[in-house]
Amino acid sequence: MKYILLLAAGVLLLAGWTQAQEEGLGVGTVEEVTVDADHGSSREGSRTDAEAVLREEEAISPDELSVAQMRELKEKAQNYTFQTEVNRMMKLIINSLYRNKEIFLRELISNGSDALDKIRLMSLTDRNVLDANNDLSIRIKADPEKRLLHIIDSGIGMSRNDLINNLGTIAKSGTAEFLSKMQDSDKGGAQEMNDMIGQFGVGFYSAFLVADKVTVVSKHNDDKQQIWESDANSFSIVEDPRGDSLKRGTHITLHVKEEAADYLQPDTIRNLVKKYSQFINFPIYLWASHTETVEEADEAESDADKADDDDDAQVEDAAEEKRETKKTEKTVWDWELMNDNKPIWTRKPSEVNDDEYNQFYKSLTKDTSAPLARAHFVAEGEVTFRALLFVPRVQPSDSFNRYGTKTDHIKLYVRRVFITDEFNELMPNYLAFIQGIVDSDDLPLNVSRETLQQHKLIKIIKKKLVRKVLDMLKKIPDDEYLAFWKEYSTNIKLGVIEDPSNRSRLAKLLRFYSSHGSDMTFLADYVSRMKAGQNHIYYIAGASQAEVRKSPFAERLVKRGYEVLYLTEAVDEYCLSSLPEYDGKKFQNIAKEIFDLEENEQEQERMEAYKKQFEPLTTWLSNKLGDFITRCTVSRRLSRSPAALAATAFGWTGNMERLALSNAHQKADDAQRKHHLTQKKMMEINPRHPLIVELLRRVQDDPEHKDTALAANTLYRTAAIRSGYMLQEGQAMEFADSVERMLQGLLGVAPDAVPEDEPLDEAAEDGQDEPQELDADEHTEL
Amino acid sequence: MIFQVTCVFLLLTTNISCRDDTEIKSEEDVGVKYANRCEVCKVLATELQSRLEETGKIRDVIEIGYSLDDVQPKKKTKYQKSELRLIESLEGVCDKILEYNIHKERQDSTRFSKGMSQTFKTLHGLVDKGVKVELGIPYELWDKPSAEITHMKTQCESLLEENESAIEDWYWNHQEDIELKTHLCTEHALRGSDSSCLSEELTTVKGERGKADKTEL
Repeated sequence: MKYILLLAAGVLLLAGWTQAQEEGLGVGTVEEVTVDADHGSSREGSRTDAEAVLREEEAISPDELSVAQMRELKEKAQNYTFQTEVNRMMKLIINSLYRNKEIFLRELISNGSDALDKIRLMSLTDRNVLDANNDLSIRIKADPEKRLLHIIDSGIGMSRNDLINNLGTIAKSGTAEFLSKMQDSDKGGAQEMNDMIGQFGVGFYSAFLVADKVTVVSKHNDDKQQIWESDANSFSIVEDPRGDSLKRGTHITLHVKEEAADYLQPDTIRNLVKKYSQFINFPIYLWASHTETVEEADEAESDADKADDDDDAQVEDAAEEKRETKKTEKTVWDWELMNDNKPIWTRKPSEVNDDEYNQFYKSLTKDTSAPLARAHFVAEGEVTFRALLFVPRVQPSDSFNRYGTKTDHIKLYVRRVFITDEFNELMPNYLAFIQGIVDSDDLPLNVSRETLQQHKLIKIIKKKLVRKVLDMLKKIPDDEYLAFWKEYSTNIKLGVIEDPSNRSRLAKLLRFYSSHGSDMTFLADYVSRMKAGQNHIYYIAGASQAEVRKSPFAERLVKRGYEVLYLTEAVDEYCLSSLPEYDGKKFQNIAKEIFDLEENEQEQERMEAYKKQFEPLTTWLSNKLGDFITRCTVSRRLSRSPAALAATAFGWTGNMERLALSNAHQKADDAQRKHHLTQKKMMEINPRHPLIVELLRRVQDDPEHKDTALAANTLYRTAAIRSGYMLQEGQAMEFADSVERMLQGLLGVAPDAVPEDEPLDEAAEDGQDEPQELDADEHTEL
Repeated sequence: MIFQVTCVFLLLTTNISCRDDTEIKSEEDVGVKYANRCEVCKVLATELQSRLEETGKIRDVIEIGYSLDDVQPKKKTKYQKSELRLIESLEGVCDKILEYNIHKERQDSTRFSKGMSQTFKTLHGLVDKGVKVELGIPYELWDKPSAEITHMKTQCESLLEENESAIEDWYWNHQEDIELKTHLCTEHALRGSDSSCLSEELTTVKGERGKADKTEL
């Protein structure tokens, strides 16, 4: 089987190789046959028809062109200079990756693989595109004596224009973006560069890490074969005088630098391919030799052996005879397959080990660390597909700046054919961090990304993928979950908001800090700790743990042993307000007026008593502060603080106001926002607080006293601050003034004392005098 | 012009709760009565049924599978009996609830229905006549979905997620023999709880509309 394949490959693809190679390909010739054919016969114009045929099959390396052809090439070649940006980029690549030269092979192979993907994709709608050459492979051949490294793919190839655009000018926006990114992060260094070059399609230039000169011969179905050549300073392009010897594809020849000669050794190449390219979907061959032992027993002797075999007694003799047969060792040159290109996802999960998964993940994502979690499954139903999904250990810190604008990271294959990775339909925004592949036999393939995007079956795939991802996340073990949550908590919370069809599933992944301890807790654990008779999951949101742990609203609850969730991220309060309940338990934002706490009869009686007792004060405060508050009531949640402000049932809490006010992306005069921001709050007072008790006494004695009025205002403002609200409409200034006045009293400064006037005139005169004096000094010094 | 509409305060009872010292233990204490489970299920079943009727009209055949030489026949599935139809019918079905309004003049489950409520019709009528109506919310927000409605959408989504397998079971196995409402609500979502709202119907609707027209005239 392998033999036939190789033979076919030899016939179809490599007609342009030397005769020697061709023989080697087919039968595995012995070393006596020289790898390089003698080119003397095709010298100088004296061509016969036979020579013309021969020439077709010559090595395609331009070095092996005849002198006449070389001259012709020089005359016809069109010379170009690289765009300055390309030049800069090459220098950048070369300077930052000189310690990491080996990646050049990965980049060239991955370019070859892309080119093969493209032609295979085209072949699905137009089978004729493969007519020129049916073989789809990447072949590597090293020639240590001439220090040449050949990398040949039978991919889509490049036309003359493609060559100019892809290798030499910044036609792709990607290259420019790459440059600006590199300049942004100078400190990024080699690792970052290494990570990035592949993503921006500028990997080709890494060839100059190891080569002084690079020759690219390429044949595209729509153009004649072209030769591109460059020494990294300028490049030339010329039509290949040998005709379309490649049939289709690209042949890159690296004229390897002396110091990089190690990359011409077969073992080095094998290791690099294993390290970087083992999951390339096309066969990668290396022209290599191996030793075979051949027995050269002559016919007569073997016949004798057979005859002897009949006689048991002579077995030993026969063995002795065998020893006498000639054994010769021969070196056989052949195309050696270097990668196992059976796609990993088509194998059974039980037959793939962790290491293979991790290797695959790394080659898929160019990530250097192993994934945090993975899922490998076959989904059946109306559409059958295989998928292999990963959670990377980190997500780029700018993910949320690009939220919703960037495509997801799922590579879509149909029947093992890579279709696209620029697809937005397979993952919802909040799961855009998931990396992996999806391969389906059932999608129709008459196919462009655009038509596929509309394809309705994608919906079915997406739904199942999301479910599987959530399953995978649910299964992350506790010790890893912390790392996951640190990295992706915002994604999951946005999911709760954006994906109602999976809300309960997502809710199971949520973790928050709580009054239970210093660690975060799952909602399920909260529910399991709920007190008998507790109907709600209580939560409070704020800017930091320090703030919420001291929130007045949580005081009494925590004191009485109720657990309160502490929400400290910006997205948290939005997230929980779109989650109506968990496990049948409703959530209650304790910074709002709706507050339900199970209390026994005795407590209720005490509460009624308080209400009655403080009625004069609550009524008085309601009147005095009528501009700011809806009403004033005796609180059931305060224990330490004298007063707090609660939002109305559908109003914004202090935390929400803070978030809304600091949001830069919003309409200037939005009716809804304005409505919310001007909503009055409800004031609660703590009947056990001495300040409140005293205020009640004073209100009863002398409700019109100015100190009491001042106390009412200050009490409201401190309550606002303590409850997380900002003092709006200039109230902050008034508040500061009144506090400073109290400070004056405290420090014994006369209450009517005002700041001293600055002696304006004198200051001005001084200002004028000084430079004059200076001048005078300078003069004297001079 | 100073004709202040008193009935308005029935709508936004937050305002009358001023200085009223009753405990606010739930939304109901501020005049917002969320849909109960039965009401949610009823609306979901109604909406899903109408989505299915709509998607049921599509006569497409889905071709699945692809082979290079087209020798193998493609798998063909009728859209009407496909997973895709179910997914597309379920997709965003709860968003339909935003087309509903709360009709506070009704008490039972029919308080959730499409179209502008009687009360709001009257109020808009007054505004059109130049009467100054103060609702406590900006005029721009009058016709935004109310808290009951947005909350009902959320409730609907939760109910749907919880009972997805029941719906799937009905779609594949019982479409012909049981009504969706019965299967989804009575037999699953509301099993063991009150399902009386399912049979409530808006009988007075014509009379009401007639009245409304008259008063407007």
